[in-house]
Amino acid sequence: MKHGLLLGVLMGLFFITVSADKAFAQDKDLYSFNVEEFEKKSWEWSGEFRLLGTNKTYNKNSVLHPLKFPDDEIDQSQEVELQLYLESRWDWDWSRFFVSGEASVIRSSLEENDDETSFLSEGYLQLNLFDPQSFEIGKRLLRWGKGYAFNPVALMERVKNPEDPEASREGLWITQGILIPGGFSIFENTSVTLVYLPIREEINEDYQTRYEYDNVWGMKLYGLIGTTDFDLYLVEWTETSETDLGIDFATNITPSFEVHGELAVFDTTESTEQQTLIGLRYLTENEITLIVEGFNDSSGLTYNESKELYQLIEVSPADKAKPYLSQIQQKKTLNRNYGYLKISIKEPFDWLYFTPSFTWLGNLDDRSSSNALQLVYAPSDNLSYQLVLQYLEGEKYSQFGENTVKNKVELSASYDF
Amino acid sequence: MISIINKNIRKSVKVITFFIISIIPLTLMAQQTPQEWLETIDRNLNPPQYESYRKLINIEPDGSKKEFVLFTLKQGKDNVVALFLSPASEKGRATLRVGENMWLYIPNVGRPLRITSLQSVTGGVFNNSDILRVDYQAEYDALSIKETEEKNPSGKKLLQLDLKAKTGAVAYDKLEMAIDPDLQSPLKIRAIASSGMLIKTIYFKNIKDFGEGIKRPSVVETDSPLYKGYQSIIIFAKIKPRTLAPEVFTTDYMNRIESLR
Repeated sequence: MKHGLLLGVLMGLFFITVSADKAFAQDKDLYSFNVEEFEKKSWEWSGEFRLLGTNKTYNKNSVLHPLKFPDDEIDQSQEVELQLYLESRWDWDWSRFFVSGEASVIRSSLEENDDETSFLSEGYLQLNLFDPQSFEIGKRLLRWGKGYAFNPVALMERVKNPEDPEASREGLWITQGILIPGGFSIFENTSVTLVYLPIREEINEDYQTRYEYDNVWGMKLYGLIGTTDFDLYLVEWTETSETDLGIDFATNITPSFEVHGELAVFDTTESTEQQTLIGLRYLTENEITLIVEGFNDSSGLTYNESKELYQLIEVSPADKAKPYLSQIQQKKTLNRNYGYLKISIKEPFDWLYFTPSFTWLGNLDDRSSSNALQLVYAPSDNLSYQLVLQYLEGEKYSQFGENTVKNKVELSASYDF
Repeated sequence: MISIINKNIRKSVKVITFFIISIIPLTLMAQQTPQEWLETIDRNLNPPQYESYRKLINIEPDGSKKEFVLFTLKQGKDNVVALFLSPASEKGRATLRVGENMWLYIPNVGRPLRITSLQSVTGGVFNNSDILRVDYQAEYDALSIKETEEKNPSGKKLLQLDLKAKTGAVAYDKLEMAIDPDLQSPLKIRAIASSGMLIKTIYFKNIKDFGEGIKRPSVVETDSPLYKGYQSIIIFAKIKPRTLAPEVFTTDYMNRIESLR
């Protein structure tokens, strides 16, 4: 109750404050354009403030529920979260320093859910002395690949969460050089990216935790042929003798129909595994956007293997169940085959600035799924409201059927400045 | 006697030559082909390589507005890149067009995503092909030119240049361009679908001398029967010629466009 009241008051204040900004904007002269306001400054900063209220309903039938709540029969929690994202850049002559970070505070009706986190997303120095070639050193998120929910070729970055592909991720400390030779032969454009990523006790130590010390070298070759983007990737883990290869493409079959795909092969001394993605994006005449993706991971568990893990957790005492739990939680995907569908409709029924969308993420091996309805309303330039209703379903011993949270309602307001 | 005749002949040849040289440009102007008119329009609207600032305003039926400010670079017939400077929620986004290819770079997403000419990165009546406008001759063939009954302020009849899309990938199948023969600039363009339906009308207003030989409409407005009550406007400022490396128009350069301001 206390949290609900606090959330209501904060959201009310927030709405009033930013609505005034919109009303003021309407009074300006239509054709006025004071371009001097937009002259480049050597130092700039910007950010986003976000307020979220969440109600979670827990799955008391889950075999994971006793591990999360050993003492209580908890079936619901309410959380209020404040998020602040800030970024800043300094430009001088042929160099740039960029830094961005995020901080959040969560207060929950369950004390164990209270949290305070902050992290540096990116912070790097970019040198463009030989522009368009560039050299960068620092913390960087590379974001390789063409997929929306899955990126098999993201070989030198933290894996994105397919349940929330647009969530912020933390970068890695790297050095990279980008060479842009431009067009030649059948290529309208080309580029070469070389990356070095060290893993040491205090640098990137939480990335790929199976390695404590390594030197990782990466290369990406990009080419544009006609209306198709191609990338080739090669990543070498020198100390652990692992070679990762990748290829991706994205092309427009028609102006409103895009197809993309990725393939990555992970070759170690012990095994050779691969991940594959195929996807499409289609825009209908009445502005409905469809994103469909299929993902396969040969190193994922079969349905029987994951079922056995859940059964072991169910019958084991808490301390003995933890290794099985960590096996389930170590990757964003558990099994081998997944499907993803997102349908978003732009301003239906002429409701301005309103975009509803539906997302389905399905585990095709155990037939469980995460379903989310998202309603976004952005009434003025820098303000948006979002309501998310998420429902997870699946049979016993399935990935989403055993998730500790059964459903979630999340209301948020964001303001960019 | 012969020398007098020769002198008169030489004099006559000179007069005839002078006369012919004098009327050649007028003859050419009068007989300019539709394709030549299209090339003239493109050159008058856009220098071969330039930078500019643009404010894009979307006006809704209830009068409320959304405004975007873009820094734009163009090279050749079909390379354009635009960087969003405002509002804060869009700042840092960049859109790139290389021929039929279009990409959108969103800082938080971090990699260029393919987009289509029919979508709109800003919403409103302008779609991506309007916002990332390349030379008309890159996308259209000029079919015919004719006089219309409409007149410009000096009383000359406006011309109508009919354009047809080169491929099915172009946003509009046909364009009917109303041209002021004095300004050699479009005043109005009707964009028509292959079904014959009018998709939108684009108006060119407020001719402005931007200096360095660039004189063109500083305001472009559009409305559409498909979006009744909606209006979108682009206001141009600080258009100036700029020499650019071709590598600027590549997906790997999209997060560095700011460094070119």
